[in-house]
Amino acid sequence: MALNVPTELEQHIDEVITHYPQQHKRAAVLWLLHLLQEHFGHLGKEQVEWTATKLGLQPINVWELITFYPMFTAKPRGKFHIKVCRTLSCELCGCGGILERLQRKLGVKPDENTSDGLFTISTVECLAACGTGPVMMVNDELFENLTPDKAEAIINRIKTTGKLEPQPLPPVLPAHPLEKRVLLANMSKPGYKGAIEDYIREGGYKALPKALGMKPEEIVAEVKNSGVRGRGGAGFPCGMKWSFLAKGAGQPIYLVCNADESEPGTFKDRQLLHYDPHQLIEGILVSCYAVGAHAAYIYIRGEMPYGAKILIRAIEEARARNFLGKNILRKGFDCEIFVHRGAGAYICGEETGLIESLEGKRAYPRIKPPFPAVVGLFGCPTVVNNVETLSNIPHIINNGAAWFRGMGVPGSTGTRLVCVSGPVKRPGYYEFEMGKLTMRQLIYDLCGGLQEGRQLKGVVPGGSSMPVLKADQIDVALDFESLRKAGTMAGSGGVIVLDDTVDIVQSTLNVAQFYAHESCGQCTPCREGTLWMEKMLHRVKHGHGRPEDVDLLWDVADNVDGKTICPLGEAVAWPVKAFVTKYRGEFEKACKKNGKEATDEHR
Amino acid sequence: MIAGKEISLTIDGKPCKGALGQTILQVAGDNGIEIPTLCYLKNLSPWGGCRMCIVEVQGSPKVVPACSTPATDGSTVITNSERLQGLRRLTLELLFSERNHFCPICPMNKGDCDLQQQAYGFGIDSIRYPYLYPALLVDVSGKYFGLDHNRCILCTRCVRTCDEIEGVHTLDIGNRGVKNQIVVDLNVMFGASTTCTSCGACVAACPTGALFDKSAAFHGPLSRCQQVRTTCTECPVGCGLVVYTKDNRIVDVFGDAESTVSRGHLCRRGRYETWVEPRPRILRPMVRRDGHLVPTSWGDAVHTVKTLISASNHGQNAMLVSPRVTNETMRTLQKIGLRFDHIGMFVADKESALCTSPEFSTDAMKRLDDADGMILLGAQPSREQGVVAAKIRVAVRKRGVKLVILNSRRSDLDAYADISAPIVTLERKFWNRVGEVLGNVKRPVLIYGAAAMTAVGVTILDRLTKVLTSQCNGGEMLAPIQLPTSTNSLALAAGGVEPVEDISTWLGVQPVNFLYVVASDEPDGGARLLKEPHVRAFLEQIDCVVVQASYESALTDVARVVLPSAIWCEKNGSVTNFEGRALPLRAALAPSGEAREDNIVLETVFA
Repeated sequence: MALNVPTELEQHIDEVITHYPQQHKRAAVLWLLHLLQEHFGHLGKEQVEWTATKLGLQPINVWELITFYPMFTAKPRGKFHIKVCRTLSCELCGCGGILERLQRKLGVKPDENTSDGLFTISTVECLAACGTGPVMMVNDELFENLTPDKAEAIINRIKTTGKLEPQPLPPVLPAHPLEKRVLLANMSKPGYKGAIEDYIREGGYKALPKALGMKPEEIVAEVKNSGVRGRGGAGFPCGMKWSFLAKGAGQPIYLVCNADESEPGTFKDRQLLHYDPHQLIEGILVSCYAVGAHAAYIYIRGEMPYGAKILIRAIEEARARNFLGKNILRKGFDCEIFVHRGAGAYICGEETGLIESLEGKRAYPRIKPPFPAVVGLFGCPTVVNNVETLSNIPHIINNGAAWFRGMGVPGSTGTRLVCVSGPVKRPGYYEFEMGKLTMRQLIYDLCGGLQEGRQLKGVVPGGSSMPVLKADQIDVALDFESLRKAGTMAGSGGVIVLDDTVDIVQSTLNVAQFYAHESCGQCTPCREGTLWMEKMLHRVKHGHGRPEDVDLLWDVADNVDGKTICPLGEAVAWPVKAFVTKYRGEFEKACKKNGKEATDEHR
Repeated sequence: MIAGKEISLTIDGKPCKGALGQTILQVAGDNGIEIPTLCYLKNLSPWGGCRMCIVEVQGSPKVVPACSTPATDGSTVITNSERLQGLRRLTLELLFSERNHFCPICPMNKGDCDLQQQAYGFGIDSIRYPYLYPALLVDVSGKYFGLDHNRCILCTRCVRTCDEIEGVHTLDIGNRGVKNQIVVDLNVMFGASTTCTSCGACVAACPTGALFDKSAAFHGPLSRCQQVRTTCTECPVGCGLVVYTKDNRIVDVFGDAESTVSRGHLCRRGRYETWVEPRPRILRPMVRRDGHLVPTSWGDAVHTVKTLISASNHGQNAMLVSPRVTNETMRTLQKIGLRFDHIGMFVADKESALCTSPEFSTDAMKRLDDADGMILLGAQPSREQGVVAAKIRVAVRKRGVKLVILNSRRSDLDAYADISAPIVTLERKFWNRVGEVLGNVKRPVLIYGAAAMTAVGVTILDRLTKVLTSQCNGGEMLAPIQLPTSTNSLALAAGGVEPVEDISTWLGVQPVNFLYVVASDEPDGGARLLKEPHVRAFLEQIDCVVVQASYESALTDVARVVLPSAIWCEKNGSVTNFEGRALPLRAALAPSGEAREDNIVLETVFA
């Protein structure tokens, strides 16, 4: 049966396909699937076959994606798809109650459609809005700071009006005196809306002409000198990464901006993308010029549809002023930026998983070597940088490496965006000079301390994959080196605060569930090990644990650690090992609770 | 970096030599050091996921997979430390806990399962993790093989084989993480697949009992079978076979990895049809008495034939052989040829034109690997030479080779072609398109088969040769490949056997009163000779027809004497493939019943 795709939609699709090199047009597949799902509500056999024909693929190449990326669905969902975040920060803030209320209210279980065809409820993994948890999305709209009552009211309103109202972006949080806002500086100003006029008014797009007057290698040297390190998680020096690029092989060079912010507890890139897109775009343009790239892709996570729209608009604004496109500012440099939407896979945050996904495949991280700097996107040398890293570039060009190095401490220069979630008085995002504040100051001064009557139990400093710090370890300075010395890492800057009401076994289970859900399944230890940890924690949590389980859990985690193609192995092993080691008593107590034999249900 | 440059490294304390570009696994293997593997399979791209082949490289904090990590000069590698053995053990334990690996009821039990062998090797008799017991499908809807998801370890060897060797990509992985599962097409049952060619390469690649040949299941472990390496005689490609037998019957047939022609790959015909399809054998000699064929002894049958020959009028007898007979049979024919006025072989439609000037296409399989443009004219490899079709698919899908097809019947290859057109008189516009498609091609190869041998076909062939010579600017047009349909037709033709398409025309000139047909193991027993009603009528008029064949068919209905001949796996000798390679046939089984090899029968009858 032929699929009836409206002409307008097909034109849009044809336009999207031009964003990718002709011989790699399969890269457009995720975009196509998003567009077709928006129009048809689901992706059945007809949609799969239509997409395959359009992109010269075999249908199975499309089908395998639909089953890999959870945002896609092969069977029809309700008109309003409610996605309740279940990951750690939202759990700490009570997302369970919301899910329960909505299920009761609508009379359906997760992933079932209501009989009127209006609603489907699903639980989803981290939506990168942890500071305003619990959160849920209904179709493309994000609802924050929920309570069960609020969630019910939202459903009632949709039912009465029959439509979903667009949600405004929340106002930018005011700066705390201890902060030093560089990346957040523009958006903190009154009336700043992130449009190109706003950005130019605040001194934007000055770095680009300056950079185009420099030699590319001078820019690379400047970035190297600034000491800026990658803000995505691993903290690799940015300038050094650029210098690894295999140039002169006659192949194009690509720059990819990793905007797949999905490490639980992290929601900093969300702010940079939503409130100041031109800062990022200028950063990308300057970086492209520096590394010799003429095309850049921004891989934005699928759950940020607004961000994608904002970026696309911003790119057009920049093009209208010749900051982007052909012969930029008449300096003879051509550069295009394309927005690429993900579809709900944490593994795409890993740079080679991201590249595979960008090429239109299942996001299986690649075996390295070769590294992306040699064989990356479409087989060409590629540099992948995080949103925050690239947003720093215009500032480095404008003010010089010395200025940048003047902020922070040696080894951790510049400012850092951290985002705090969990039971503190003022959760949210903060920017400060690295190494100049301690975790204690962050929690008790910037965030105003814990909520009334609560005591600090521990804190995860850099997204849920980083080892937890106990309450007595928080006098550590917030920079790469100090955190490493404290046995953890700065990671993605997502700080998750745990108070004395938190059940560590449950939190560890929550973390394990996340990674089990997100494992791509390529490597045996991760595919099995993550599920194993989840199962074991589940039985410990439900009183069926055995005393030897505590050591076994640590053992499984240790055997995943460093044994897999990509770092997802470490991402699950580190937090589990740290929780088990540092809060061993709680695990032992849970195992002893009633000593019930493990039953089939809890295996 | 120069690939191939000699490098030296130390593996487990042993100084080893290798070549730059080799993986640690390859260097170790070449130096006699075995590293356990599961997802690795030679000739496939590395997957690196099972983590069995992990090794320690000095200076690297992480363990690395030997199958995909390049060996570097001067490095020190440890493959068997206590830590590594512990990790491998854990990996195995996790695999065993994941699905339902109940060895006693698995067809691969006792030696055919890599997973089981590895577990034995590591002394695993129990695992520390409870089993997950997932409820998974057992799909036995496929004609020749089944897929039991319960025994799958997600090594993707089948997926990669299907994609990289057969080139159809029927199999893939669906879902994510621990829910990963092998899928067929868009998640259909194997039996409902529209893309599967039933080549069975996935089964051969499977390290466990997840994919298994239905006819081989529970007939005993292959590791305890006798193995005979022989050659497939289903088509002129001549793929290498390994026949597994037990108690004088076939347990399974796989491709021979040592074969220079096929490197272990087979198509459905060679892999299954020859032994799985039920074909009624002729087991004893028979002579017609009172209108009925009755079994008799060899002595009586031979005597009857001899009597009939001497009774026949000289100048009115003929012999017709199958083009699949061996070179040895051909030599016997040459010896006894004087006794016959006509010796012909019944070739496929239009194939006689290919045989009139038999040309072998030396190293054709290698040319297919080297070409960057392919033109297929009047040949149906998907139906007739499956392994060639696989090469064409892989060339297009993996190397971006340009493909132009000119055929009168459609096949699955059309889907991969840049241009696909019928063999008719073609206009200028068409040739312009061909010119565009092959514009940047440097090493094109023209593959043509019997169906090209028509007036129009030959005109197109000439035109194509001109287009290609002018197109591959700066390159070199590879010598054309002639792809016959029948197994040994070129060698037989070169040996002086006349190709025959229509017997009535062939023999119509003068009356024949004695016809000896060697149908050998033609799958249809030679019945295709009777396809046309007038040929049947013609044969019925002949006083005496002797049929020497392996399988019962309509042809035996017109025979005065029927002699049982041995089938492919019962034959010794050789056939010459379309590349001109003489390939050995080695009997894997003693002939069934009283069947004998063709040349032995002929020598007895005409002694």
